[in-house]
Amino acid sequence: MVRGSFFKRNKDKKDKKQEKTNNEQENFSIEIGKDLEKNLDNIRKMLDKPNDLIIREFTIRHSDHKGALVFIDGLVDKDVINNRILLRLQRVNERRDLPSSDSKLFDIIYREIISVSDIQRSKTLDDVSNAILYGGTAFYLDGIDDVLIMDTKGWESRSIEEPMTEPVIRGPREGFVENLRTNMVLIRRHIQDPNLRFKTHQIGRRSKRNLVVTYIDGITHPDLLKEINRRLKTIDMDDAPESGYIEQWIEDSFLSPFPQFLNTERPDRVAFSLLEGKVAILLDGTPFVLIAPISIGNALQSPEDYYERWTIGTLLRSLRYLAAFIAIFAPALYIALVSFHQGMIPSKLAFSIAATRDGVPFPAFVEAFLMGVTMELLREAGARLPKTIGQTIGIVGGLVIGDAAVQAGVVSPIMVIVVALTAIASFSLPAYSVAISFRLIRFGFMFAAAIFGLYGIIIAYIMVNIHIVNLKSIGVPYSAPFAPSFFSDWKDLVLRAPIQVLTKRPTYLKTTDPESANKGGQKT
Amino acid sequence: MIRRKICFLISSVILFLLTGCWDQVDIEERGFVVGAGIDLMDKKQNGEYQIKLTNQFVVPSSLGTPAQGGGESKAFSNISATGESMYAIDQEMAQLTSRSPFFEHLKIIVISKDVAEIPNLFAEMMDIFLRDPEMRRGIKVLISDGDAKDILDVKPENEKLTAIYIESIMENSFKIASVLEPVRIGAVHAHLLDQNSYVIPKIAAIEKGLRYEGAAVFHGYDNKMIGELDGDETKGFNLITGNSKKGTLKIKLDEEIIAYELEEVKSEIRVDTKAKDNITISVKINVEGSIAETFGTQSLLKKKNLTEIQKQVEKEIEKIANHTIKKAQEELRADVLGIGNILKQRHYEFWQTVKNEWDHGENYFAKSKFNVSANAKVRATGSTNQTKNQWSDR
Repeated sequence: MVRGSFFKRNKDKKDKKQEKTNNEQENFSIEIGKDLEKNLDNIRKMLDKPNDLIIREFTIRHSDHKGALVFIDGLVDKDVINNRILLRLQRVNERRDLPSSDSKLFDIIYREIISVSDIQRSKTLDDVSNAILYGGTAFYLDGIDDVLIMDTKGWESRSIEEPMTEPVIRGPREGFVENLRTNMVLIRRHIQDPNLRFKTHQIGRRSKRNLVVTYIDGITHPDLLKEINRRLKTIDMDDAPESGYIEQWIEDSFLSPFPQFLNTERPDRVAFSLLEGKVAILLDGTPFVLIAPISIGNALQSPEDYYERWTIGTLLRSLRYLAAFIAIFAPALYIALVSFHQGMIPSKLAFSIAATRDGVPFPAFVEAFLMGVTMELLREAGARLPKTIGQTIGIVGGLVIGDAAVQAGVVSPIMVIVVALTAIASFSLPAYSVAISFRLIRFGFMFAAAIFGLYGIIIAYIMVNIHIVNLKSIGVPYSAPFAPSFFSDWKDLVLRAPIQVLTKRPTYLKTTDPESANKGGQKT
Repeated sequence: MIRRKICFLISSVILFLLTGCWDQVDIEERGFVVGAGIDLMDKKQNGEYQIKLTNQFVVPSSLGTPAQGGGESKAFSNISATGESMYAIDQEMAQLTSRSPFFEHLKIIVISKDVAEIPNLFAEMMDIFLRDPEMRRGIKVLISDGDAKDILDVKPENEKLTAIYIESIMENSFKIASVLEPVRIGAVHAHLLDQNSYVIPKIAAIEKGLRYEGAAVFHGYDNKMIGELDGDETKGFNLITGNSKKGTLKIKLDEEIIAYELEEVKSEIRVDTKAKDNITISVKINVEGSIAETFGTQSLLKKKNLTEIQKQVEKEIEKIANHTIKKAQEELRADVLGIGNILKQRHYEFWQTVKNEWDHGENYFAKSKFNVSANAKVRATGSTNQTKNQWSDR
């Protein structure tokens, strides 16, 4: 009974508050009338008089036409408002006669007087509020129920700098920023094809962010676009501050440890993917762009492979596959070999491991698990600290704590080596989301190894393999160039064939462009 | 429905967690057995033999890592137990040590001569090493002159473990022609299954070390050890079968010693089967080598000297080979040279008629005639031609 009334009381409060806001909201209408004062009042009531809402009323010179500019301070570029709009409107009578009728005046102001490049007419308050809250300016003229909406964005935003999560040794050092327009510009600079399309969606009820789906018409398969658009329409939430939200809403399998979208901060990676036939999703407010569909081969690729020559590219790629193998299997193999299959270790190594493990109190699995968890803790701690301290913690944690643990006889030195190697291997993977998912899988394999030994690792691997083969990223199989086997795509998978040979776009994306990506070099 | 699914999930997880790790034995709890030695204790009334098995267990903490360094103590411990069957002895030995014996790293088996000379006992001893799934087919077998336990007790100077020391002696012996290639238990298995005679290398304990030289000859039919080949005879054996990789021959040129080093040995054996009593076997041995050491003063660039050296080498080879053949035919009366195999491969119908009496009974092998011919070439003479010149008359 108490519980019932407890909740009831809260509900009463909520109801009252709802009524109050409803009442207030009912106080402004969604129409724009002809009376200037009423319109301005409307806007004030709608936003409840914030103190960054600026309403500049003025008269057009030498006439008694009244007008007003409405904008939000901080979002707009005041220079444009002062010089291009206000100034022009205030000096409008200098050389001409103005028509006296309101509508004709409005027309002339729209066409000839205001010198802003992005300007629209509108009749709805919805447009006005959307515009003002996004850095636009609205112009009201007394006696007209139209408004002019001008784009005067000018807020503070980060400048273009090197992407922090994906530095490369050779290649462009531009990274996306939080501003959608700048990001679109960065992509346009890479691809000047008129077929490059940007389709806008609006996501979020209360935040109304712009989301842009980018693709190249004629290369991307139309079914892919249809599917992505369909999925985007199912998103209905208050706010999507990061592309991660979008990713989680429209991905195929939310239970899978593998990411089905790639996220990147680099425009060159996006351009490369677009030319392959993929689709990119840009969200206003985040520098991370989503790329779909991807396959497991893409997860281990980096644009750097293509900027260097093919032998180096091949070497780096094979190294990455080796690193992925070590990052997933090394601790599990250690546990399996040391606990179950000592006969498989070469004799001298086996005796040496037995010697160093003599005083260690824990069985191999507990040791590996503890060290793994410690390594994860160190990594998370290092990520949160400022850059200078973060480096030191890594070294201190790794060396000192590891060494002290060995000296105390809590872990064996072989374990420290294995764990350190695993950590280093997982750092060398180019995509951060993939590295995280490998970390998860590694613990799963450690459990399997501790229970069934090498047999357990194999069983767990078969399970993971079945999962990958069944996984789809927007309908495209995740294990695509491996299985189903598109042999012509294997030139760019583990090896990186010389650029003269990489002529076709990936087959598994079923691109619709009959011409190939490069024609194999011209003969002079 | 959902409750049943959850119960099923939980019970299968518990099933995995409870049953999976019963095979898990941590590496520091295993007792690695690295070498095994078999000796004869005595014979009991009912015809069974009392055998002593010595297992060499590794003490890993004394091995140490290269950084920490090992102690002065022995890195191994030899534990012996007696019994009739090897398996029973193993069980008894498990009670004598704190770690469970683990045979997957077993490297060598040393069997004393006394065991090998008793008919069928050698094969019976080999059974557990072939049958147990923990054993591998790469384990090397040796016959020892004295007690096998003494061989395993030798503390080597360079290595920490005796078994590893013995193994590396065997692997590194390729420069000497008077030893056999290491014989693995897989090959012994093949020999035990067919009737042919075979050889197994021999090892002896001398003061402060081990001597690996010679071979023990086993008769296939009687299934026991019947004799030995000493160093020279083993050399001849290697030359005839073409097995030797390197080796030295000592010849004389103008009364001065020259050491000729074998680099490549190829032997061709042809059997001429006219009749059962009249089998002629021709052995052609082609060798190529270089001159390793000379005491003389001749110039080796002169063709006359080289031809003379080649002729001497051929004579030496024929002498050694004939000596071995004589020993095999007259003293041992066993076909260790593998002629029986050649007959089986190339003259199968003939082999069917003689195989029941090949090296026992009628012993056609002992009655066959051997023709050995050698062909030697000198390929290199080292870095210098003449190292000294002779001025005085001697």
